[in-house]
Amino acid sequence: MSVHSFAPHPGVVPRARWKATSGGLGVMALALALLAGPLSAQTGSVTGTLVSGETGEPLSNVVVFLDDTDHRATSNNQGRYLILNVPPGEYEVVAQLIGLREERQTVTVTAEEAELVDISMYPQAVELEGMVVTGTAISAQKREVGNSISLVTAEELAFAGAINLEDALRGRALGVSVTGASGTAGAGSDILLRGTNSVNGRNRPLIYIDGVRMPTGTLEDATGEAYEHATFLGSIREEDIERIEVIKGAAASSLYGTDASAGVIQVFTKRGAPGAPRWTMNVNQAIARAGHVGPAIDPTGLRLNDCTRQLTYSIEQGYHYNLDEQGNFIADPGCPASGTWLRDAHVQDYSLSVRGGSEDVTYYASGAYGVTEGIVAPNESEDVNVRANFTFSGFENFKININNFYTRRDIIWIPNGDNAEGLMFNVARGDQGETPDNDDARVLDLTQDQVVNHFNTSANVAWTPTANFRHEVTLGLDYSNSHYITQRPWLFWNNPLGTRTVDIENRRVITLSYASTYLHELTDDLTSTTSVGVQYNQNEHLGNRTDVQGFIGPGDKVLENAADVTNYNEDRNATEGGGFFIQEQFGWKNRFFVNGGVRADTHSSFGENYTRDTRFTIYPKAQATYTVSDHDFWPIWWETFRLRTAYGQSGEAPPANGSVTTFQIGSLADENDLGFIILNLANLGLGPERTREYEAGFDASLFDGILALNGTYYHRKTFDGLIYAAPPPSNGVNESIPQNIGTWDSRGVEIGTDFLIFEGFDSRVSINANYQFIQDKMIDLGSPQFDQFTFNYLNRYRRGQVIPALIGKKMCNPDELGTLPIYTDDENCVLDGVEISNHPDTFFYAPSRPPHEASLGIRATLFNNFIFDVFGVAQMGHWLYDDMAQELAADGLWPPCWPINNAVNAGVAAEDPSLYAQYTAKEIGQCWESESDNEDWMEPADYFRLQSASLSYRLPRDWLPSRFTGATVQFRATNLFMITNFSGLHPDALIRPAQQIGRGNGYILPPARHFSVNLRLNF
Amino acid sequence: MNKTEKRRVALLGLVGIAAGFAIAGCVETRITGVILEEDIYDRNLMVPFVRGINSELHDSMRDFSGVWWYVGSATDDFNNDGLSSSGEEILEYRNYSDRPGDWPWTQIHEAAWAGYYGVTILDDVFGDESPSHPLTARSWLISGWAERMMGELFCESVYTYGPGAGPLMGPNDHFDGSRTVQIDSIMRRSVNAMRNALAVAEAAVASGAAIPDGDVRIFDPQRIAYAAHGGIAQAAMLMGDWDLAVQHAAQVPDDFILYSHSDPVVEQNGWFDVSFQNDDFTLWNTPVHRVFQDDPRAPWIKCGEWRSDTLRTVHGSSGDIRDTGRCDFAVGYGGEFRAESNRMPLYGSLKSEIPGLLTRPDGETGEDADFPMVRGTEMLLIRAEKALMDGDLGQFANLVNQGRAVYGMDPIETPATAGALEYPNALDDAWSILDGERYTLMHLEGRRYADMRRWQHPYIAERHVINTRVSDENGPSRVVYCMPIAQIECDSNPNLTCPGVN
Repeated sequence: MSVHSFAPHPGVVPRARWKATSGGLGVMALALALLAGPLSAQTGSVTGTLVSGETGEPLSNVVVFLDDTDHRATSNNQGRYLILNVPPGEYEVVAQLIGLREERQTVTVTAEEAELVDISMYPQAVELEGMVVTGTAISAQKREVGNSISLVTAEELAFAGAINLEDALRGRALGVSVTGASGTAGAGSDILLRGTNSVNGRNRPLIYIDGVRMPTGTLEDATGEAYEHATFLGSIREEDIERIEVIKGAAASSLYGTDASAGVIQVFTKRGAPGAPRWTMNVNQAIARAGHVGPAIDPTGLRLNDCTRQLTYSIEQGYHYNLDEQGNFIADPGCPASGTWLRDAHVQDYSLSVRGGSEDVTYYASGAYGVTEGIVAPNESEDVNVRANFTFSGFENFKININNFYTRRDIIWIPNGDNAEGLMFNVARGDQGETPDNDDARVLDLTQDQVVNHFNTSANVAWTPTANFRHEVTLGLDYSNSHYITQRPWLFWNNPLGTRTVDIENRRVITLSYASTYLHELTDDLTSTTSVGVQYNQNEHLGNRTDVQGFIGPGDKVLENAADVTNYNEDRNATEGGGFFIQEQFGWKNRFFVNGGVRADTHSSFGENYTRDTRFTIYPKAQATYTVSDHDFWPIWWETFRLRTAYGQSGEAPPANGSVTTFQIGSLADENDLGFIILNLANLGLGPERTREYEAGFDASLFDGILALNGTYYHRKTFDGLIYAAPPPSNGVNESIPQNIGTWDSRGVEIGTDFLIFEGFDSRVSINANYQFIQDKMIDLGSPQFDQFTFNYLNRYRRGQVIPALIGKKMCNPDELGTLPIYTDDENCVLDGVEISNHPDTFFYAPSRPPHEASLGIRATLFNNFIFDVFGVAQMGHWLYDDMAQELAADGLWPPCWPINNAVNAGVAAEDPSLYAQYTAKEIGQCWESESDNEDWMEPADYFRLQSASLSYRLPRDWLPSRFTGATVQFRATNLFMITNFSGLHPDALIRPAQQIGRGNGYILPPARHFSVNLRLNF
Repeated sequence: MNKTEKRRVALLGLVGIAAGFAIAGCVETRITGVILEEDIYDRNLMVPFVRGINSELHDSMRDFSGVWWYVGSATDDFNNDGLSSSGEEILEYRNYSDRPGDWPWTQIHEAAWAGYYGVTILDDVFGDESPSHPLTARSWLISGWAERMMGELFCESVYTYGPGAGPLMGPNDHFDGSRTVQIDSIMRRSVNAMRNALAVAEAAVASGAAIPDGDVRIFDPQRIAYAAHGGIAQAAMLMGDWDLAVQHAAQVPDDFILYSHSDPVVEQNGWFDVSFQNDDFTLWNTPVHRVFQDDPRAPWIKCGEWRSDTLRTVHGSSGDIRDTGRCDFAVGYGGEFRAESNRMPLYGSLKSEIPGLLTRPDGETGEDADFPMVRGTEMLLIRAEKALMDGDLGQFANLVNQGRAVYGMDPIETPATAGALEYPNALDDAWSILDGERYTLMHLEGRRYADMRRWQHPYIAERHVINTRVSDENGPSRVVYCMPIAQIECDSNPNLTCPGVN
């Protein structure tokens, strides 16, 4: 019986498909080389090193052979190979590895000589033979999978230079939207897959690491003074990542069932390979520099860049600085000795990893230490990461993977955001801030220290009793602890007694899964793959927060030093879910695959009536994929063309307390009057929010890999959407409870392309470009009670509108000169010939999430030693409300507004509109203190950002000591420049981006430019 | 696939499915910090459980938007009081162009539901004891009272809950949430609940059941039985079943009174809030000020002249505030509405023009003051009304005087004529006397609306009737003596069509 689908290309050994058998061949070859001397008297040999052309990293398990001969070898852990006993002559050396393009070089072998052939290998334009795991029963070749999967490889991460792991995915994975970026060390960004997925549920994707579920979203931020958050994803160190698989919607995530409708991101960490230990040491040093903050017209950068002088304005003098009686600049009280609130922050990072092992046991271990300073002292994040991955393959038919990581993050936050105690709030307001005597340094007396301990361990056991029968069991534990302390010291300006809040949050996620796959050849051309599996997950949260106030005397405090406990809170809750799936796949000639399956799922948050009969809810799936280019008739210049389509459903679990009736205690002082008051009435019919999605797409490569294209269209509809709404009072209790009543849909297009511009002379230049369009629309909020949900910063979910949308009153005459603004509240406002309703919230401005996203990367490898990489991202089509600019303008503190405000004031006082005739109504609306409304500060937030640019140089091998197998120096700059018309601080510096639905801008430090030098040594 | 492999596949598939079902049987949500329904099933917790249910009834009355407020606004309870909306708002409801009453609608439903729900829990916990347990009787009483309030205030209702279909509760389609139930049916639901309360309370009395927690105010089965008799009488009268009404009214002692009793969670009594606390509310120039000045059943008092002899109840933790005299500094907000109404002396101007004439309902002196639900004196008036309808003016006067004696009031003379509820009319005919007696006895207790409906009654004050209001763009005025189904129900009930709204 043959197993067709595991032999992708003739001569290529599948990498770690079901049995890791090839890794030891290189070791064996080297050993043979030592013993074979007498036998090779009339022959020569071919040897060399195989490296990734993109990173210079050695490649193990590459099959190297001399074409049309039986001479072959496999590269070892150091990327080295050796082919012995080669008769003299001219040969073509061929190197093959799944996922990489086949490489060929000609060599002439001479008797008793060892010919050196080093080969650089590059990714295939369209790669169909590699294995993917996420969304499949156990694993599958890409050519079998009908849904699109976005992959981010270690190579791409190495060039990303991202401020956090979320940012590393920005623009690199189709369907992934990353928003929010700041200059605050430790802050995470927001990830959505294919846009907005839920209203009252979780929008963020599931996160798996090596098959084990992690918490999603943000860590708690206690008192919220920082207005930014760390994320759980921040615990994963980029250098440990082998690849990231992203499945983006219900069409792909059915087998994950409930919880997976927002998609799944699975991180795979590096594993060992047989061979001698291969060490990699990384040393990274960087400077983060904020650059100019705020409007260009203000040289002081809203007093953040330069607090030694105070910019002001008068009609007579124009912009000028306040001077004291001696004619000297007046500095802001509290201005640091450096004259600026911003600093050139030092970022340092050191890591050491080793991978190696024998045929029976392989390992990958790493340790890292880093300190990332924020651009405002004392903000910093000090990170320690330790990882140990082991693979045991020495058992008969068994393979065991053990993965462990521990991360400790110590983050010192600063108070910031739209916050009377925040730094930017007070500094930008000058003497109109909240701090006494405008001494803004006292803001930083409020301290916020968060320590995060994150531990993750998993065991994966694969049993392959026969070549076509495989079972996998995965058991995992993810445990995280956040200890967040906010303290206002004794004599703090805003609370002289002082306060302290200690928030301890523990989360535990348990994953248990089993899956089995059986492959069966029905005919010579037709195969069947049957899969079953069962999963269980438990999420537990234990939280304890205490707020105290009233300290007597200075010094470090603990809770018991305080006079009063002002608040305490304990949370203990847990939910469980699980289910099983059955999937059947048929394959025809390894080019057409169709599969169908169902996931039967249950969850502890379901109401008892929802699954009364079966205890399960069913999520179906169906997929088909057809590699048309495998047919003989297909033109040879169009080497790959695959069509794929997928349909699937998955869900979002309802909140834990939605399906239970709860009471609270009410009592007068008289304890005999104790009473139980109904707090929440169970929704016994409560079920998951369900999403169904169709997608169709293609993968193609043309002209021998010069051009690669892929495209996907999807349409997703969420029904039974979870919305908190009160049932009709005639039901008995009118409290808002989660109900399955909403409907919204989403559609979009994802297009990716790779273009190989030039290849030759040991050089290669390629362009990668991605584009995605997303449109999310609210169909029905489910209850006549709701026409819309209103979130902060003017964001709304309104029936019939794109979500999230910026909606407000609209100015009728924005471009009219010398006129005060007219809003739609005015009866005579006519736009486009249509009279506008007087309703103040009638007008849809734009989505507040970008519907269009694009990225462009250029990578040039020159002479196999220099690598130049440039990567830029763009987000377009969305608007943002600039909370900071609006507030400052309304208070006369936004510098670009000063001339306008003064002119209008003078004109109104003199009843002479000519004094402000040069300004448009829009400008007046924004800047005149008497008129500045929120809507005036809604603006297009399109931007293009040069996210990273790097130049890497691989040191020639003969420069290195013999023990070193490679060394790379990389100079990298990130966030170098931005093109935008957004007038605020930065179009992606969002307030609480990973936590809030409403997207608002302002009072958040813009992301800094990083200039780094990185040295990587392999030995 | 050979046979062994097939067996393996089958076995593993079955193991997987079995494991899935095992998971389904085991998954549970753990939430702490709240009391789950399952925690309630403990006989030692039934007293606080029923106290909580009891508070749901009080909720429907207590708030500033409670039943008392809507009824007061819609009737002569507030007429001419100087408050912005007094005695005028009801006119705006006449064409259902607006659907007020969200608060009483939701709270009355919640109270009625809670009573029925309580009975099911009590039956489960007490088992055979439940049909004779005072707590079960009180729970039925809550539902009965709530149903009565629903029918007194609203023209119709919809339900998805209740103890099940039957002659009194109506057919099954009365529970589908889309069928409106008319006032008579609502009152039948009230009678049904009261009969159950009565049966359980009498069984508890007969069995010598102890009064739970020793709280005679709420859990004394004998008092519950009296209240149930009174409740049946109240509902039967509104159904027009006078024989039933009189039969049960006669079972209630003259001096009996039972209250809703306040919420265990400290909530503001709305009267207290708007009068004593916020100085927004005055009885100045209302009928109780001008017509029934010294009636102890409708006490009021001038600012700075607080007295203690007319207090009905003194409950609460905030202490006696009669001496605080806060009338000098508070600012009312009625003045801004003067131009619109143009008929009422408004509070803001009133204070400046007539200092010291601020009046307040003197019965409500605490934030947790209770609301009377059943009185023996109301039962006497029900019986008196029946006597009047039967033409027995002597018996009518006897019963009226029997009630007045409870308050130490002078008796009335037997009226010479029955008269009619038409205005202007004499104040000494029987119907006018009855009207005034009921008005003062239940003043500001949310009861006036139902009387006006069944009598097709105009206002007492000023002797003008409410349907003299001129027509406007909504058409001719139409007197509506009950409120339409509240907007919140129309908005949230997809099965219900609300005329004029949907």
